[in-house]
Amino acid sequence: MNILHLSLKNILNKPLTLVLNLVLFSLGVGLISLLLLVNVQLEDKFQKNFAGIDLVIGAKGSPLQLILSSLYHLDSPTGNMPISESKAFLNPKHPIFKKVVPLSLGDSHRGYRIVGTNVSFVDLYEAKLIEGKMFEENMEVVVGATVAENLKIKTGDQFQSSHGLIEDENLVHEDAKPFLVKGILGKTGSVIDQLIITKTQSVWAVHEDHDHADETEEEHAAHLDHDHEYAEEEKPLAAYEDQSITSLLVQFRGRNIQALNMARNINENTNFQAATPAIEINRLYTLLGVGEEALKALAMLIIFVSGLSIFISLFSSLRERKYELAVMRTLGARPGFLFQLIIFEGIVIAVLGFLCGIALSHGSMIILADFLEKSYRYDFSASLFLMEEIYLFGGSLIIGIIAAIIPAFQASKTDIHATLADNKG
Amino acid sequence: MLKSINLTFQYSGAPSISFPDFTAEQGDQWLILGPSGSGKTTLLHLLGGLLSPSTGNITLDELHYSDFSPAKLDKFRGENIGIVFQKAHAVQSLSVMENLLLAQQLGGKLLDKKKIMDILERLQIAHKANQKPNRLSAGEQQRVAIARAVINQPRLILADEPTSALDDKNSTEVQNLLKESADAVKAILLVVTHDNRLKATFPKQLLLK
Repeated sequence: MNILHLSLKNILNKPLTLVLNLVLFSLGVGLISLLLLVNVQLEDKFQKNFAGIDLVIGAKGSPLQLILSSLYHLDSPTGNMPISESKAFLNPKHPIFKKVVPLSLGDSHRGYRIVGTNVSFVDLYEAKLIEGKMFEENMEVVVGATVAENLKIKTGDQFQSSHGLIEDENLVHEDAKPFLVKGILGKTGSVIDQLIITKTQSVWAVHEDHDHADETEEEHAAHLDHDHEYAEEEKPLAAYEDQSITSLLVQFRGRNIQALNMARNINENTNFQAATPAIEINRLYTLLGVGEEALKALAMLIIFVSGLSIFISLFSSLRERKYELAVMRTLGARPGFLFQLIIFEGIVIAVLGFLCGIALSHGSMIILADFLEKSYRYDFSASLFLMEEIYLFGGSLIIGIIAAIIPAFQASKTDIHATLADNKG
Repeated sequence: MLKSINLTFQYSGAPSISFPDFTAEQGDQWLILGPSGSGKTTLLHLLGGLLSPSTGNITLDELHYSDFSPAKLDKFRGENIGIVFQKAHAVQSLSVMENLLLAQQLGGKLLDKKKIMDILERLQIAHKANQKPNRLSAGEQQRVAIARAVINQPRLILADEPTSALDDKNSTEVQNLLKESADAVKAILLVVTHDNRLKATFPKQLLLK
């Protein structure tokens, strides 16, 4: 029968008040913890997916859209870049560009995006094969870990891609050749887990077959011949003058003045745009930050209100309990005993509220993870526990104590004589 | 032995009340009578150490209350004085048993469930040991209050209108239980009341004016 035990009994004796206090407290704590969880994982995702890229070059449009579509595979691409006009960037002896990875986007398979590129794309994300081999021929693909897991794809499986980036049966390239799964990549925690990777030429091949469905037989046959020709003697991408790609991911040789001026040069002197991932992502943070700040402020307000509600319920319970508090004093309890009793009641509510809040945030993370994975192409974890949650615990304790301190002081000042003499008749 | 000498008390803005000198031997049972406003409750609170007198001295077993610090007095009261009020005012969140365990703990005694059950048995409320106080009748609640007052074997038991909220049957029973319980632990029993039903059974009476 220690003080803590008595505090707990007192709190449980008023279940409705307890429920109200816990709901408020856990909403506040839960909201903050959920914001932290989503935020930390989003930032981690954005960091991981930079993949050492200094510049993204693509068709004119919104630079943020270019970054999102080419680096994070979130938005739609801005448009196409004809190879005839972008040959200069593809020169392997480019004085400023160390590595240039071409991307052809726009097709998908059951909601997962197909990226037409080359093997250097896989190297960017440091992804390793865990099964099968790397793609070599046209229409061969390797799939990211999450794709393989969720679609239950194995090496040797075949599938037909669909046009566009959403899952829609009507848009399947039914008359195109199927893709053949050659290998499966291990988990990296970056966006490549959510992608299907193939050669640039494979994406072209699908679209040629498809787009020119009303061509004559000879023309069609000529195209097919063409494909065979490509496969046999591998031509550099720059040789396909009549084709287009979506964008280029660029790593600089060094961060010198020419490199830093490159983006402006491209934007001013070509039909393309160049976007710097770091700048665009910072801009995105600033945009998201406003909403995040508003949610944080709301969570703080809820926590403040819950602190107030703890204070009010403790304070009003003192009026009901003044006789039993006075009687405890006559039984030998010191004023400090009553002070601690009420402080512990505040702390117990805060700790229970904190635990409910953490359960709430991690519970809703389990539900949200699926939705977030679809919209952000990133595996969210509900079992991740953050250092900040320990600070949140400390904060909860402080709120519990502050809410209880005035009632506790009041209880410790209980005037035994006045209280018990007053209760006559 | 309980002694009070030259005891006076003054509420702010009111005339001072002086109380007759008074001595009770161990095992004595006294009834303190007087009209409303005669200071019965004040006297009881003074004797219980809940209130400090303006002048005068109280000693229990030769120990002067005025020598104690507030902390010592709280401890002394918990160990040596049991008080029964008009209503039990038990801790509502605790069962009868837990209330008595709390009394043992606050009185600095060992927690002894068997002893508690023996007392509840004697007071005929053993079957209510695990009930919350607000589930008990007024008579039963008063028995819990008596159990709480005697559980630590005090030297002095004070009762303030212990029967005035009860009907005749319960009044007689509570009165008898109070006297028996005080006898069982050989404590001094002082009952303050204006309840005339008690007058017949207490040979020693003190009248306040």
